[in-house]
Amino acid sequence: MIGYAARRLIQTIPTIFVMSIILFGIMQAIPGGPMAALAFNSHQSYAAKLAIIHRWGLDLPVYLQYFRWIGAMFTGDWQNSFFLNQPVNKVILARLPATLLLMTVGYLLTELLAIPAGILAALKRYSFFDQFVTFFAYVGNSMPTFWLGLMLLMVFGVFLQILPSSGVIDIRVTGAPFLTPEYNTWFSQNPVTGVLDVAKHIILPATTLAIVGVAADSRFVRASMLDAIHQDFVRTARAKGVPERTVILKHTLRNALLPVITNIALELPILFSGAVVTERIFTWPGMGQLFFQALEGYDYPLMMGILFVAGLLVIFFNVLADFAYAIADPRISYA
Amino acid sequence: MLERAVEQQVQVGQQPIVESGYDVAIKQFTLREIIYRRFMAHPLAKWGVVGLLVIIVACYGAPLWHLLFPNFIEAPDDFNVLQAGVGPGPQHLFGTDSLNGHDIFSQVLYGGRLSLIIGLGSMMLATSLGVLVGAFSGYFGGVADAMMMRVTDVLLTVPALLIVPLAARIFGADNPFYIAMIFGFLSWQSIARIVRSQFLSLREMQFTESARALGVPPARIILRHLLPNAVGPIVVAFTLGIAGNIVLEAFISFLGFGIQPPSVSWGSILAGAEEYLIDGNWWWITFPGLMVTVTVLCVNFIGDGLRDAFDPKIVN
Repeated sequence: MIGYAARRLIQTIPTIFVMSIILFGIMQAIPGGPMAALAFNSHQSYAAKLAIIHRWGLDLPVYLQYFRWIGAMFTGDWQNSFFLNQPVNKVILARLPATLLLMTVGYLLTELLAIPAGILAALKRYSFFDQFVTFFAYVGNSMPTFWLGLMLLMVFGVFLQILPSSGVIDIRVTGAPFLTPEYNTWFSQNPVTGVLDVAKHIILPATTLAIVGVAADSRFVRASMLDAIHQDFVRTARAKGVPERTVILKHTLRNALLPVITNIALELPILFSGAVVTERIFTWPGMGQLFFQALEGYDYPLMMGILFVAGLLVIFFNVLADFAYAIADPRISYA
Repeated sequence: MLERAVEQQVQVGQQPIVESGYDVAIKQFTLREIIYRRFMAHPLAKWGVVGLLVIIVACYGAPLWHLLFPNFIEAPDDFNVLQAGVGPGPQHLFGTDSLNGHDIFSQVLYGGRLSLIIGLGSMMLATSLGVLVGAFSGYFGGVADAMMMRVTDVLLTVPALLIVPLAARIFGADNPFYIAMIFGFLSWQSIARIVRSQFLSLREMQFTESARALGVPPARIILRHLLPNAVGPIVVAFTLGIAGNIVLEAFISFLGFGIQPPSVSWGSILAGAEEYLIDGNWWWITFPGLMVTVTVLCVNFIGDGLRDAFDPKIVN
């Protein structure tokens, strides 16, 4: 198992390199390149522009530019964001917790609803509840995530006005933006108010993620459960007089949840995309929102940094899925 | 061969089902008929077809509706600022937007033309690419296969949702042709994987071996012997991909990186809506999004029906 884990981790190294080459290539294709943000600055002389081009190494051949960039990525010199005027890695690190928080809560909510719903739907097949879950799954799968978010925002944030529609905290309550040192000291003094404040803000974005997630996962759990319930060992258990409760809880459920676990892990990258969309709608101060800001302002270093981190996250999620598979299914040997 | 088996009569003698006591003739179906029957037996698939046909006729016939009902359907570049932000009513079925006073019902009909063709066109490109890569990879195997699949894997890790707005910005956003191309280039990987896995098992089958023994060239084996056998999963992935790309287009255009205002798509109608949300004009957001949802729902029904129809494990 440890050998497998080590091999799987080593496999990610070429993947990371190819991903970085693709990202670099895409960024090269942007008209104007990194200078695009400065293109309309009339205060800048031509000589000054040439000086910047030389300082950034944009007059070098492309492959040298790539090596300079990838080298800088690994040594931690990610340059300053054009607009925020702070080191890119610090900006991303400051935004990452909000994204991970949203993903975690959305995820837990999804699974807490989807697994019981899928199991119940399978046990009471063709019942009203089953039909309802199927209907919900179809509709939830067909709705654009961003539109669902907008609708929830409109109903609960604008019309009913019972939930906050943007941000992660209420600055009138905390007195400082999320995760700044001032916020952290305030949070350590009033943890209960702090948690409640974040909880109130996370309801709408997390529900958006959860509705889409439940639509996909409940169908999967249901199918997996139905698969397990028709296996021979379940019939054997019933035939020898095992109580139905035990049959379901001990014999069926364990086997049914095996594919569910791996499916959950495989869905992490999809969840990440969902979080990016949701952040944009609810102005959640995470990486997704930061990316769209960077894109609108041609903030080159920030865009490259975010894309790189997002790629790394997806690769990391894929490794997690493989590990979950290896741990959950003892029948597969990875010697 | 299958065609020749049509209407082959099989006698069943022992147990007469018909009351008169005559032997019952059983018609044997061709594969195509079986798939058609299974598809129609799916409770929702045929409603998906009906719904999608209605939407296609409504959207692509929009210029005609404008000529027939000029009071209800505006011309695409027609708007009335004085009527901006009017709620749904007899004059404007879906209301008007708050920015220019476009009639949203007309816009939804006109916008569907681009949204649908982008969904379809992108998946046609993606399917051609995916089949090409997957077939080559799965049939020939070896080093080429290993390399192609690594590239496919890596392309799957590049977060598509972040790349699409970037690519749209690079290639000039307001051209629907480019948008469809970008979507196509970002969604062929899963089809390549499906085709590859199908080909891996099909190429070991005996009919492939006999074709090879007869000296049939690889291109013909792939096109005439393997591809028809893999068509089920490809068609299903194609259909579900259309649904996915219609949603993606809506999001990208909503953000303002996709279809731009003079042209309309379901996403671009929503583009300005977010800022006016606070005014409470719910119709602006609700109806275009509902249209996307209903369309995608129909496409998903069809995809599910096709999956059941092609699934060899399900016996009727």
